[in-house]
Amino acid sequence: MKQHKTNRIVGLIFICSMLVSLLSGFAIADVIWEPEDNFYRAHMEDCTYVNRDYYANGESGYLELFTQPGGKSLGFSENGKLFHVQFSYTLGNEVWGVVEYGSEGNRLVPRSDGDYESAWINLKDTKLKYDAVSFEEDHQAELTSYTGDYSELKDIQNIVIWTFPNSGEISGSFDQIDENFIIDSQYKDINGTLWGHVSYYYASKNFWICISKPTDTNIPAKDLPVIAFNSPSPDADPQPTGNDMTTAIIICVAAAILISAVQIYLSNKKKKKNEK
Amino acid sequence: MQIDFVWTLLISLGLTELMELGLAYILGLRNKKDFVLMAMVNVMTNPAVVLLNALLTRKTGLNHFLIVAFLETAAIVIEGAYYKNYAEKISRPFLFSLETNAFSYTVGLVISHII
Repeated sequence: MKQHKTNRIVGLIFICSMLVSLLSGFAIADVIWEPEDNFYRAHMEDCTYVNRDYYANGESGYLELFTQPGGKSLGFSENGKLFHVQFSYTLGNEVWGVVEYGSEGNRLVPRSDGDYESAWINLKDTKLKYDAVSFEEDHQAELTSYTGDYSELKDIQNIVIWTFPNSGEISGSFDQIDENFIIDSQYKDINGTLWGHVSYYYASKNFWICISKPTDTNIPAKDLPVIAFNSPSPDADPQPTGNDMTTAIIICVAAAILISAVQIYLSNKKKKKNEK
Repeated sequence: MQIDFVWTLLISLGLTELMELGLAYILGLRNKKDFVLMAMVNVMTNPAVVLLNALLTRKTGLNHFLIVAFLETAAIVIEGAYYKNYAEKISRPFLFSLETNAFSYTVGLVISHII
């Protein structure tokens, strides 16, 4: 009876935590976060999961953001800003990525909390940030199976998690590890420092630890590709692509003002004439 | 600026006409010529305010509140001047202009937040 009650309470807590996490948009384990975007929702079957970061690098010095692939221009972001692309969509020969942005003055900036919206960017106007996937592509041949016995990590506290070897980018730490911690491959860099890759450990996925210096938080970034961003022309504001109708709209509004003013003047003149 | 901005201008003008003429009726205006005058004055000011608001916000990076304050004040003054010169039954033209513009702006703001 007591066991039955405990099971019900545990089950209830589990269901509540699942509901709370779903409501708050928080992803547990392998749940993929999806953007709140109309185009994505309508074309999710044709979208590809990306989950990588891209630097704005348009030819004009700015990256243009759109309502949808090939859609209406929303504005521009300065080159060098880092956008997270969750999904991509291929339109003709062009690959587009869905991002989240906010506004700062008259420029758009990457933003994923507070007041933000979704937009699409043409990935030809970006540079992919060198990341763990890039590292694994570049060093596939140098990755070998882990042959150690975890003695370097035994009783070690605060093991530092890195995005990839020599990235200089820490993504967290573990107070202590247990028998579920499995290093599936290792990498020895040119300095002889040994790194271990872990596919999954208590909700953390695809990360690296430095086996030689597991608690060192000061391992600097090394040999990362330097990105040269296109600079904007001085004093030139970026122009939205597509059919720019600004001039035509200004002429129409000016015509409306003029016609109304003349009409009011003529009506008044006629009224005064009739009064006489 | 693309074709859909024309829709923005038309919707904004339509809603403004509806709200301001409606308020004028509630405030006791019954003169048909004054209603026509109001409608024409709104055709003069509303698209210009919406267009300038969009252009100044995008091109200058000025504080949006300042842009709106400047444009709305200009619209109130121009409309008030037209009512003063041409209206038959609008007794306090500038106050009337302030009331109708404040009403349409506030309702417009509420609608845009709901949408």
